Amino acid sequence: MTLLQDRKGKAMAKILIVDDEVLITNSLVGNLKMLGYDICGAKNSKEAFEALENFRPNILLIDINLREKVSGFDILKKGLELNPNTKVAVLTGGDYPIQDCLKHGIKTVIKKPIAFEKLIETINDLIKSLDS
Amino acid sequence: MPTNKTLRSYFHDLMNKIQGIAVNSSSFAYLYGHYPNNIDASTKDKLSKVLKDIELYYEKTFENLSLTSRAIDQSVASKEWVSVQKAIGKELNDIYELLDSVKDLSAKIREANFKDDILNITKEMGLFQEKCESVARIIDNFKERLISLGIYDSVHS
Repeated sequence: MTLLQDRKGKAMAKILIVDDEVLITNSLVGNLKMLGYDICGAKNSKEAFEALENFRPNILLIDINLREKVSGFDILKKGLELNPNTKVAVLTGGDYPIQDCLKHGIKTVIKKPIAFEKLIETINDLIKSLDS
Repeated sequence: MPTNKTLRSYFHDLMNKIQGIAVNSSSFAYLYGHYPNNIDASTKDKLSKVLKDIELYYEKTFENLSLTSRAIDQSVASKEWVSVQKAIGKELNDIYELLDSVKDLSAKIREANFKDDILNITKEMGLFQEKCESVARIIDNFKERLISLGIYDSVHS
């Protein structure tokens, strides 16, 4: 991928990251913005649902276990309702078996502790799949 | 304060703290190791913040480990937990030494060799990830055991 294509890909992708560990979410959002990604963070389901309506992401990075009644799967469902072409990756500390994610149609699972480089690779793969 | 949490929740919280160490260290390693052109006068402040955040998450990891331990001590897995906790403690000790080494390097950054010194630090920062993954593997193995004992989703205070 050339730098120009890379920038074009980044420009068309709107990423929402949902994780209940607020300092981690803020750190990821800040660092990904530094690399030119259009990204928004949510620390709970309320913020996530608001972002789905207002920010209109086409890439979702979601921690499934949010320590509240609403799970990451519910946010995922709403995101796909609003935009069926949304690409999704699940962030998990291994609390939920990968089979559960597959059952919900999620093909990309990133296991914590996440290496930033791995996260970038995953995001770039999801951006590429937006084109296809 | 007593809480009614499942062991799943305790381990979720513990993994999130380990994640804080991994994300902060690997982000710095990537942003400045892969893109040395990003290195400028503000990088030292960024490094200082990242080190503070890693230290904060290190402390939180210990707090969560202690709470997790207290919960498991009341379960049938308490005896097995002793060696698991020891293994996690060893990895955390290595992480502490790594943090100490990076702090030492950051205190010795030379004005004339600023870029090289930062690049050297990014290499050290890259080493945290492997240690965090080792902790995750130890926890994963033990979680399997808790699941097989049928107590992973039982409530402990």
